[in-house]
Amino acid sequence: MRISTAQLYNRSIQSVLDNQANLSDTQAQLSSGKKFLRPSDDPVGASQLIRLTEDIDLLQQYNKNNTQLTNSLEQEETVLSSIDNAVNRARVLMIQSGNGIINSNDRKSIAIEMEQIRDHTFELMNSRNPAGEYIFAGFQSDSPAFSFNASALGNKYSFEGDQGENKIKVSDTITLQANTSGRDVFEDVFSQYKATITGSVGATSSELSMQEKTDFDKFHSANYDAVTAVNNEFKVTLLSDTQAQITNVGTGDIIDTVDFSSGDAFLFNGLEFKIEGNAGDTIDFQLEPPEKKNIAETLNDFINALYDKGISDSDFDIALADALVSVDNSLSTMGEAIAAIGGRMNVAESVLTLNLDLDITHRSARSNIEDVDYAEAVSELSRQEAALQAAQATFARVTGSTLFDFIR
Amino acid sequence: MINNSTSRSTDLFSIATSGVNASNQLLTTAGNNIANVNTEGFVRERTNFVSQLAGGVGQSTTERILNVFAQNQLRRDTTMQSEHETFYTKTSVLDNLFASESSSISSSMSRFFSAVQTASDDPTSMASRQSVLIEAQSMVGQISTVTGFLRQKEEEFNLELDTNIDIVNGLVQSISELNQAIGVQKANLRNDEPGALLNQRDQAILELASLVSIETRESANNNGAVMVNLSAGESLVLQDGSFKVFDVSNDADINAKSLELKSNGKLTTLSISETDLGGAIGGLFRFRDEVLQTSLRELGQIALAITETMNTQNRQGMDYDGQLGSNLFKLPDFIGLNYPDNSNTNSIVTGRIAEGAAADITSADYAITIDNVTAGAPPTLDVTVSALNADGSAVTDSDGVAISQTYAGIEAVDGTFTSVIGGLELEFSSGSNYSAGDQFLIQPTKNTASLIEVSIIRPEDLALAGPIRIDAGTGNLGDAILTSTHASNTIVDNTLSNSRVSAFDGNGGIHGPGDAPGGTVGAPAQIVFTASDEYHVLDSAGTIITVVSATSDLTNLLAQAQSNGTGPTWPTNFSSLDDYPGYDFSLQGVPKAGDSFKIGFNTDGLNDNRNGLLMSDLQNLTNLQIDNSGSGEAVSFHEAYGNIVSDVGHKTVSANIALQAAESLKSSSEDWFLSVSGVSLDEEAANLIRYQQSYQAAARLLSTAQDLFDTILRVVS
Repeated sequence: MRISTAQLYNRSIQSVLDNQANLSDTQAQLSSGKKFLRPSDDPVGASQLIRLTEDIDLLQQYNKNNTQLTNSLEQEETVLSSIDNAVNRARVLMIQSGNGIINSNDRKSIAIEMEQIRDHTFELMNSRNPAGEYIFAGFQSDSPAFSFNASALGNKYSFEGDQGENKIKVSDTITLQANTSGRDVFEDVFSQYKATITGSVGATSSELSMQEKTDFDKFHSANYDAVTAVNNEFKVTLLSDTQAQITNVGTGDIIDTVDFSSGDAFLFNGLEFKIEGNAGDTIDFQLEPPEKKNIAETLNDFINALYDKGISDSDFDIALADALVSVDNSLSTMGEAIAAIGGRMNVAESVLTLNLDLDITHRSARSNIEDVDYAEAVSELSRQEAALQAAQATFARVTGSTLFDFIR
Repeated sequence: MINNSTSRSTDLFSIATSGVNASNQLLTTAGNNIANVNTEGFVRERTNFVSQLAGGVGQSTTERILNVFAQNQLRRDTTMQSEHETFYTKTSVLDNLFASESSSISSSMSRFFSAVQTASDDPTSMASRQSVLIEAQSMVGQISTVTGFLRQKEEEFNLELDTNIDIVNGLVQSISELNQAIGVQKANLRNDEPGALLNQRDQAILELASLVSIETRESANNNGAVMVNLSAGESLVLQDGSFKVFDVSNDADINAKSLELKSNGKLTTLSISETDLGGAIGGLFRFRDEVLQTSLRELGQIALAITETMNTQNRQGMDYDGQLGSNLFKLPDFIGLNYPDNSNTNSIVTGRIAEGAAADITSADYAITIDNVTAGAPPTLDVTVSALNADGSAVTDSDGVAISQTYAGIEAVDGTFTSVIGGLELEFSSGSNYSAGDQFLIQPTKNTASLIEVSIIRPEDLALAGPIRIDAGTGNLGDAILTSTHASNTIVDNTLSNSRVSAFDGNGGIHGPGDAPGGTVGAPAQIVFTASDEYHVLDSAGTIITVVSATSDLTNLLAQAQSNGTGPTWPTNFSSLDDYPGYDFSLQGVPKAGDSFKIGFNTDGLNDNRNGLLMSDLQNLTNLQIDNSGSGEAVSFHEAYGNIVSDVGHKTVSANIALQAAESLKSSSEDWFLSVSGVSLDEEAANLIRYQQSYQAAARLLSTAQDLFDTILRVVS
């Protein structure tokens, strides 16, 4: 084939240029540490990179969220445990106050200590986070969760917040509740269910007292009707000197027929009736609506009983029993809340571990796509260097000789 | 063939002189070849002789050494190479743009959503809310920067096109002129080719071939002229010496340049298909239509979809001030561009993205054709809206049918927006004088991405809270608990004239009796269970709206009331509206008779992050249509962006492969051409020696003749 002079130069310079371009690409890879310099280097990898980077960013955000969540949960747990401790101390004091040999002065000093506990508990129920938000107030976190109104007719300590649940996202699929509403941990605690005698016809005397608490609680929760008040009214009818019948006033149903002896006690679903009367007499009693009391209210009520010098022993016993029931209910509600918080912390922790694992997986996947293999790149560089040098050397040789050199 | 060996009649002197002249001529040709070794487009020449009948060497003929096949191959390969080179060079600029992480829209979207999550973690922190606004600004700023860059590329394209068209027109004209000059020269020079002119013309044709794909034909008149036409068929240089030039024109969008051919002197124009032109100009058009315009629109689509999606979610929440959320971003209106043929090119059509229509937004342009105008006050219009691709062709659905929709009886009144396909709403101005046949072009995604602004400036306006709060009655005995609340509509219109109205009164409450549609019962404000599977829905005054019995599960209690409520049934005034009341909630557990749940506005709910969580969930929402036909699978924002990037990457890499192939083809055809027509200095060096020697020999012959003559003279004298 005939080779023209232009061809000779074109060919030689083209191979030098090609080699230079390759060398510069490898050099850019080595200096940046990335083999992925442009999307066109690996178009599929480019969109994978975007997704992986997005996922890594998301995981980092989830980890931040997790820290935030764990901080709030830890604070709640600490506060609830403090309240739990305080209430347990109050419970000990209550039991102590029920000791028969304690006089009113002793009760007073117990009352003083319990006042401290009540105020401390109330303060904790209005705990705030470092940002100044009331942690038990639900959504309405800029006002205190609980208020105290000494002149209120019913409960003096009342919940002002709501049941709003703030959730924090710790992974694509898992959101965990970050706050705990004071309504759920403190406010929605039932005090002792009650039944009272509302009237009697003919009977000389009638008394009602609580004997078997669990039996009565069962009866109350099964039969209390919040819609039709008359269904909560019952009538004891003395059928004879030896038999009494209990009927529901609202429905007319006969609930039970019990053995009766005038002046002696008989049990009906945990309630002890003591009735003096004759056949045909009737006694009316009703199930009282369930009451909810928060722990501060319970302590306050009992402190009032402790300060009350004229209280009869039996009234004090009732107050003590009621308070103990409320305190126990409170403790168990709080216990459930603490357990739930602990559970969420466990989930948060395991999600965090999983996220960290995923993070490593994503990072190594990303690294596989975009990071340069130094050994490979360096050997590629020296290979290309050698090729370039060869191209340059041959350029000089090929173009350097011409026939004109030999014409003299 | 005449045998002249026996009939030689010329003397030695003449023979010697002709030999000297011939060698001189050969040396001149060789010298010319050597001198032009570096001249672009020079074809080496060779001088041929015929021996004369009467003896001696005859008339020389100098002609170019040329293989027409090699030349044509070189032209074709040059066309291909320059098309791919232009396409590749332009595309790789975008490739590099998307390569740099600092301009990555994806990371700014990630940062925005991270900021939303951080703000949701602690909804009362103003600092976290502020950072959402900053990231929102940075995100739209980032999109705007990249869009701005792409639009600059469009302007660059237009300038480059103008320059290239000037060059093409200049070349066409000079080829036509060279044709004439060659004809004249050919007539004058009987034996020699007008080599320099031919080289010039070949060079001009090669340059033209690098700009557009052409084919050439020798003129049938045998006058040396070459006719040039586009590969697609249209003639550029004609036999009669006339020629056609390119002209740049545009339709409705003045930046979308197209080409047409104009005859010199004649008033005819011819539209041509730009992307089929080939060469650098074809490559430019392909880059514009296949890469630039689609990327620009897809980016615009992401920008509109993400901002409208966030707007919708923010509107469904409640801000820190206890007000219903407003739009986070301000989306621009689009002005309909008049087509040049419109009866009145000042007519105005305005488009905007409909609220909540993010999922319908495509990257298509839309052509609006006025089919019919019924005069009146206001005039009513029948219009057809059709979707167009970036290159102006119709978007077709999966069956190949063009996507378009007809709307009848649209009133041309300012402020009346009619919702059409593609998540758009159109407003026909009352002042415009429309007539049937008028067309407008709306480009929702081309120019708008850089016009999106963050419309809220106070961090308090970020609506992280839900607008509705459900409070369980304090005396509830059952264990039913709230599992979710849901606000789907927060449009406030206390005049109730809008069919999309919700029960929110915009004043921190919900419609009470008298305010709600129908004027009797108010919006649902409470649910009271009368049994574990039966509940009453009450308004704020305690009036029963409806009763639901024998419900099997406690999800979406108000939706159940709407479909199953009896005695009385759900008010028809409510169900005739699009989404009233616009909220709902679900319970779990077993309620007891008497349990109640109060529905109310989330007054003072500052620490609520329900809407914030929904906002951050939008990061993974897959409702972006990347296929304009609407048949494709919807993707998330990041995926859509990843698609643009990998699309550009794919196109760059395949352009690069095509370029390399074209380059090697070109270099091999260049090799072929140069191998035939290129000057070889070594060859010329050898020729020099050869011609020098023949010159010396011829000169020697002359001196021999002289000697002979002298000998005769001496003998005679």
